[in-house]
Amino acid sequence: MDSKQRYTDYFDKLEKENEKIKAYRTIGREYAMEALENNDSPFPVVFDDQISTKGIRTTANSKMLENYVPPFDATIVERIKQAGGVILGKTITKEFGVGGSENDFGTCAAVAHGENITGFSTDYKGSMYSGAREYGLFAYKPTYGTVSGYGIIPVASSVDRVGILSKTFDNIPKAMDIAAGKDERDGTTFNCDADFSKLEDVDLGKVKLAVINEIEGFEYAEEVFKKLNLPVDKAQPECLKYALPAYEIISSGEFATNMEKFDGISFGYRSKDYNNVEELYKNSRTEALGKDVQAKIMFGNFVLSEGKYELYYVQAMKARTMIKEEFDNLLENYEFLIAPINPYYVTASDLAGLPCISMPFGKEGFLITGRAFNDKRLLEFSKKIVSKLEGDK
Amino acid sequence: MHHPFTMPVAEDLDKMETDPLSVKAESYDVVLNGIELGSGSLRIYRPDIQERMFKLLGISNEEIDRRFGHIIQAFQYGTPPHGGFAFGLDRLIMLMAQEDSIREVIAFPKNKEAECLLTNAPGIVDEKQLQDLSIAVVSEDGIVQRESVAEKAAVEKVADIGSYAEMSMLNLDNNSKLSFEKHIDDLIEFTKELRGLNLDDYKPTINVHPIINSTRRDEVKTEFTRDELLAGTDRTEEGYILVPKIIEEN
Repeated sequence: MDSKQRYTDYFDKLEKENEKIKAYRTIGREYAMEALENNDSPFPVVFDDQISTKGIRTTANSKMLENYVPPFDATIVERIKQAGGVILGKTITKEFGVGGSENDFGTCAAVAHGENITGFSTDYKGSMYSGAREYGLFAYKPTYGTVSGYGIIPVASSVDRVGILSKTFDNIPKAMDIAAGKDERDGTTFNCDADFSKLEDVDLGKVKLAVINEIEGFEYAEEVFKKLNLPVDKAQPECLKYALPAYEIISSGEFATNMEKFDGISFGYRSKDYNNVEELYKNSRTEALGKDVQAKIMFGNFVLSEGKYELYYVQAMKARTMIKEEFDNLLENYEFLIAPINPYYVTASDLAGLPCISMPFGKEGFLITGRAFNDKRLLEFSKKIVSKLEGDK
Repeated sequence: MHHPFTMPVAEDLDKMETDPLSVKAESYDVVLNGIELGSGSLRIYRPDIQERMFKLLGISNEEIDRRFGHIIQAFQYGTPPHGGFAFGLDRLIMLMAQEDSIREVIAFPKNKEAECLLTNAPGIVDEKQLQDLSIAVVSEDGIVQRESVAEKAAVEKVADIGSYAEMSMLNLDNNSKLSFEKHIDDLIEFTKELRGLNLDDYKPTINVHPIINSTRRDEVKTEFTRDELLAGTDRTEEGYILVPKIIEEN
């Protein structure tokens, strides 16, 4: 069937059902139709509403950006579009990643609703993995710095990574092949020579694995590997209990700083009611930002303030070093770590900037974490596991 | 005479003591198109003239020695004739921009109270800075105050939520005040164990992976047009974003 007809049919269906599935903030029918013109290799994608899309409203689910239309594409959007990606629309996020929403897992809902959609989503505290578990999807976060963060409305810039969501595993390496690599507009990115289009076979007998023990739900993850007859050691990182507190401090501090640009001046919501510039700032922010967002900004400024900075923020940055070192040591002994989708584990792997994939198998799903900069190998291993488990989903 | 370091003109040197008000100075203004850009002078470079000048102003020998001895001594080592002028760059820019006040051309001007609105100076100093400068804070009854900022910070409850709202540029009402206090107090409690850890052996992580050559190629690019950048705001005037006046009128 003509590809345009397929898209038209899908949009007809989507426009009827979006209210029920609560997936899209903005459905992009006209942009998609335009993107199909002269497109030899179209494939459907969605971006969450914290990823800037030129000409398409990007709201971060906030009154602050209700009518904001970015004049530029995030680098990842630019690359996906160049490769033939057809943007179906912008999906619902929590407000600025941390606040209220109609559906915390909007991108997952969008990906699950269609046939072969690749979703790109920001993530805060591992909500992407939880959503993927709920909707039966794969969710992949590459090594920090592998995929450009330029154009992402950030929560915590030192932790934020754009993740990839898909019903089928193969869309993930495909998306990595397009998106990974140095971007001169994001100084944290690095060159990535791996060819994700050619994943090698993995000899499972030669892979050393450990399951993260004694955190809620680890037994379900362990069970999956037992069924596969793969030997799995147990590991108990001591740093895990500090991961979530450190993440709260670091992400709040960075969030408060990142949110300073929303001042009602050059873009975003401006209050109608002000007599001077200070009232303009305060009224605009207070009227347009949700209470959860405001609370996180307040705690962020608390941990960055004079006298608190050393006790909270610097301490959390030191804990981050401790967490990273413990993970690096573990990953010297084991090539991959298996873990349940647990906020303490997820935030630890985020603070360590490690590549991690959420697999929709077993009772609760599970995560596989690999070594930094070894994204390709992690995807090769995951693909092998998928091939063994497919049908068990 | 401008000030006690300005050189009198050579023919008036003899009149310094007898008719000081008629002594002319080697001073000048730099003028462009009738606008004064700045002023300057030749400086006294001879110790004898400098000493005469101080005496003329009624400064005692002891005071000359104490306050200006180093200058007079330096002049004895053969200081060449020298002079110059200085103009304020900000004033010059103000004239070029046809503004009435230098505040219009300074990026971060001070306000009438001499406060810096950018850095909030003058601000609160911490204990360490006081120690470095050997300054003790003494209360009216003469007792040295020792409560450090760190001790104040260690208090396990959030005090003065208003100041954090101020930093966050947010208004507080009674409801939000309570809920923010609770949010912060909960997180103070939640991070307590982490704060108690001894992490002296660890350096703070700023970038989780090493940053390699993050410089951009030196190319001029026009990424955005003015219209594109102004599209996000509805308050514009002649191609600029309209904001309320930041500095009060004189």
